[in-house]
Amino acid sequence: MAFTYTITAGDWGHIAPQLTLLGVALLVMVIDTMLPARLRGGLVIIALLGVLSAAASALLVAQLGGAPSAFFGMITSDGLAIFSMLVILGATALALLIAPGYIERQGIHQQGEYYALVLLAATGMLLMSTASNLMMIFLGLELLSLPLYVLCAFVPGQQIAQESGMKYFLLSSFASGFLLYGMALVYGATGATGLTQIHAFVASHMPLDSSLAPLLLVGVVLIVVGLAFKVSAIPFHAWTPDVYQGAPTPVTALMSVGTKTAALVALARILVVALGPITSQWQPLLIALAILTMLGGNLLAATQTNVKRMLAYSSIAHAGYLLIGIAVGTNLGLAAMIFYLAAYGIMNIGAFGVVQVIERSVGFGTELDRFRGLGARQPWLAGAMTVFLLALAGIPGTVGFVAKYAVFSAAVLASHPELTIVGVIASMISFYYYLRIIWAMYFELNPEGDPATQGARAALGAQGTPPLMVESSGQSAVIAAKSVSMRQPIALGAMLSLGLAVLATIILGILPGPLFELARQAVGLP
Amino acid sequence: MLTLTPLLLVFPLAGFVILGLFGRLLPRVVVSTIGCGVIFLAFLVALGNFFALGSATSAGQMVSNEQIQWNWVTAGGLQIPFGLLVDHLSAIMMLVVTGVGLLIHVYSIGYMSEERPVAFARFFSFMNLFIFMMSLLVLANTFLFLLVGWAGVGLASFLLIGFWYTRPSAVAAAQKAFVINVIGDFGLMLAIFLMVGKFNTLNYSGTIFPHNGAAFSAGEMTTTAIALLLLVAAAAKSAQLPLHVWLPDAMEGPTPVSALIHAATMVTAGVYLVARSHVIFENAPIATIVLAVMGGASAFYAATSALFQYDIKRVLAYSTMSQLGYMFMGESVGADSAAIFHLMTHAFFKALLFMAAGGVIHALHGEQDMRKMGGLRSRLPITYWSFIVGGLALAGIIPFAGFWSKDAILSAILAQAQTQQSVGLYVLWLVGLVTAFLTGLYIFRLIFTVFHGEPRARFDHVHEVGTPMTAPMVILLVLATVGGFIGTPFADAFSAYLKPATTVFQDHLGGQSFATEIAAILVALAVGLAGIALAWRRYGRQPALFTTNTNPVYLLLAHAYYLDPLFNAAIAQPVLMLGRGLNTVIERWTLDGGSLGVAHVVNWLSRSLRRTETGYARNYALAIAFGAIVIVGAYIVAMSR
Repeated sequence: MAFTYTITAGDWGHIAPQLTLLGVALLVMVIDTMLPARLRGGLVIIALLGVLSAAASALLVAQLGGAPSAFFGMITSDGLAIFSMLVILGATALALLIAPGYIERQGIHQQGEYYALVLLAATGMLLMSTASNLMMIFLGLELLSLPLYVLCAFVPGQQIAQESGMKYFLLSSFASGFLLYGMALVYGATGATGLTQIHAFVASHMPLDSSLAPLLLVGVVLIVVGLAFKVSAIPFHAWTPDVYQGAPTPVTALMSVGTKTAALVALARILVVALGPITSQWQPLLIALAILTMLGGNLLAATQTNVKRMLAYSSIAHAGYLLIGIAVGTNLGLAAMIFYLAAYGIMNIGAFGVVQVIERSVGFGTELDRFRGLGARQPWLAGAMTVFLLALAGIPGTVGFVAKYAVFSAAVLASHPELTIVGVIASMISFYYYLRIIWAMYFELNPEGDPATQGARAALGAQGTPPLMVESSGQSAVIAAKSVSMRQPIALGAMLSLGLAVLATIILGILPGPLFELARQAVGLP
Repeated sequence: MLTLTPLLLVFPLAGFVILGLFGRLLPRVVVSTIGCGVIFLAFLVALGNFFALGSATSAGQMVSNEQIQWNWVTAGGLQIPFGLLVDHLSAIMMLVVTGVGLLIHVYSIGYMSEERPVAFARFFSFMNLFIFMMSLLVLANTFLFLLVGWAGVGLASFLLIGFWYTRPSAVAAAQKAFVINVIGDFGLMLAIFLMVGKFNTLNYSGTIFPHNGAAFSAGEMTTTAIALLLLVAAAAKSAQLPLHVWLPDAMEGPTPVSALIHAATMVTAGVYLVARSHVIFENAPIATIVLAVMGGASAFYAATSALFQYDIKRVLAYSTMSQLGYMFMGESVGADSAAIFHLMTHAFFKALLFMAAGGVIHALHGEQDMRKMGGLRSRLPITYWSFIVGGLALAGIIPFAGFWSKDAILSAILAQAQTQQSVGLYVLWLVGLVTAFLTGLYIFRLIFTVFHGEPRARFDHVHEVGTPMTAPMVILLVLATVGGFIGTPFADAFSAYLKPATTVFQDHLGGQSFATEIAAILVALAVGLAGIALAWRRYGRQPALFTTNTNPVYLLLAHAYYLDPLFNAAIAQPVLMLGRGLNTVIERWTLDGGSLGVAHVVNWLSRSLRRTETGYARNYALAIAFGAIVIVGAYIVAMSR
């Protein structure tokens, strides 16, 4: 087949955000070799500037308008792409901001590599969310996965980190096999890899005849399986807690938001946009996945004792809510989903941001115990965590509530009330574990590191008095004085990141209108 | 000028946020500068608004300057915008709120100077919060945001009554005030629900403004219900019978709080509410009768209860309740402008009296018991003269401010009584006169026993308070003296200004002849003077005043008719018993049992599911493969059918 497509300058313009990130990633690596060790902390600023300029170029692409398609229909820069790119870039920026203090504490010396890999992973995410061809989707997926394998295992000398990277690599490769096989089957059925062409083919062959249906549907199912792995939908979720726990927390934060965004947008493009004509065929599968994921994620989170792991399960549960947006098969559902992604990005990175302050060594020291009494020791940090947890639980006044409302109302409007009902029940379960952290922060005392408290606890505990009583029994001054020394230092970047996230969580919770309007426009709704 | 109106909300809110978050880090002088400065800026805006509106000409021509209009909620057919309304009524209210508020903020710098820095900042942040909420209440252009402000001032009041939270009595008083205020909030809420049903909007422009009675058919059930529910709200907020019991206890708060919230501004919110929604009352004759009875009974009840109190602030608290009763009496005959006029002068002289009482308490190191005072005249001259002027204004003696406004109310009642030939209104007028007599009696009993005679207890270092406290007192002293001249029967500039905002316009004479007016004035003046004379005879010279007394009337009055224990036995205890019963049966057995059951199920499910967390990658891969096989299998089965 003769391939005669001439690449124009406009084509390059459409992938300007990706090119910017790629360039900055290379730049960071080069500069890293030239900088003396003590100045390497400054690399994060270069990386941040890179993310900002990528975001600026994404906005520029949106401003310039023109045909949204580039590189022979491989890449699209439609509203959905722009919106999800901004979500990914925002998440990357927040995750970069919380990184410096953390990687210093964990003894990561290869800062240049760390930032470069983060930027490369983000490049892959951008590519995946702008891809409009099955091949490009796969390319983006691999491009985002490879740096993440390395990043997951980045903390030196920690077995849990090695385990995290290894598990992610093995299972992700396994799932990629399903995805690729599914893509091959779809190509076999339709003779195309471009989403537009697939759409045209399927639309012109409705209703599906019995020679076409098995090939196409099995292909679609396998694609869904492959992407559901990345989204961590149940039953393809099992890797999530192990990998999230062992990875450096800023990477976990990025993964939980960025990867989900890229994978969900790709899934939405394939199912809702390309395979819209056969919605009735894939809808039951998505509904089943969403229901399983919402219920299972929240149920599994309920009895976790490690907060980082608990948040991993919580991110599985949120994947369930997000899947509702695709499962309903409407544009309103997509708008609700990308709004939810933005909201989830803010509040989830915020929560992981607090966790990284508390965390001692990777994967450890994030037990619920460490959060006991945080409200008294570090009221601002505990206050921020409270805001994020309430938002994740979906309390009104926070962006989390609006996001849930958007998704649930899209389900009701698309005549799928069962999704809303299950979603609300699942949210109710989630209150249990989110509020348990808040309870621990404000109403319980830290059991470790303080002999006075421990003695008092032992004395009172023998009589069955709850630990709460210790606070009010006149020793609070002693405890307060002791607990000051247990404060975790918060690096400037983390402070900035947490502050921004708190503000965004509350402001968007009270005034969600403009952002939701943007989300609606992104999917082409009036 | 009017476009600056949002700043009336922004400034106090900014003060609250800054002082609330960072007040503990700031030095005292910065805290007081911010705390008073934001109120000063708000006062300038209020002053600008007041003059920018100017006086309009005809009655009932509602000037609606809705300064910002912003759609907050659209739900079905119901739209709830957020907007600020500047009309002549809200302009005057804002002037009182920010003006008197500013003076009291300045006074607080001195009064609260002995507090710890953290408490000092907390105090000013709460005071700013109060001004913000009160401004929202007054400026809102819908009943919904009025309710937000309404509940917000209740919150600020709760926080400030309980400011000294280590005192159990202060905490109890704060709770009592909050509970009763919430009863009022609930009444307002129910009224709002009925309004949504009736008008499908909560904007003033859709409920009370354009109708002017047209959409109401007089005496209609819904209208009466709305009016009565609004009265519940007004009674709770303005401490009228039978929801008054919180106000005397609220004196547990710092004295500036009593002056600002429990005398000058918050308690007048009920008066404002009734004036604002007057159209509704005009079309609900039954509610208007209830209003008159409530006002008259409260005025009389509180004046008699004030007669034998020992606590200097409780006397003033009952006096406030009594004066609020006057305002409601005025509103019950449609004399809204007279009621608002009295609201304003009352803010001047009652704030002055509270500040002076605060001066006494401050000088005596926290002593509030009048039995331990006496002979303070020469040692606290400024405070003494403040009390004299405030007392004369309160007793309605010419030419002090209270005289003109009280006279406006009484002559309006008399005029209505003559026009309608109504025995009830004549009785209401008589109640007003008797209350005026009692007012002169109780306030000068206070003045004579505190300042005259011999000291009855030893206090060291009794000295006049400092400039931050005396300066506001002097300003209010002037206002309480001359503030009434803007509303005399000869030239009633006040009513003329308020004309556009009142639906039924009553000028000062209320349609009666000038001779009747003069006669009424003289009678009112005479009874006030008689009260003062009796006080002088009874308390002016004798040193031993507080002998134990077993006269049943005395006991009844001194215990405020035993209403507190009565309410406690008749309402609080049964409710508590019911609550305990429900707690056992419903809460513990049914709800707790049920929810614990659910929790156990969730826990069990979660633990069972956690067994899938084996940690082996091979198991995870198997799960993926198994999941894929099940799904593909399901599709194949579905297709083959």
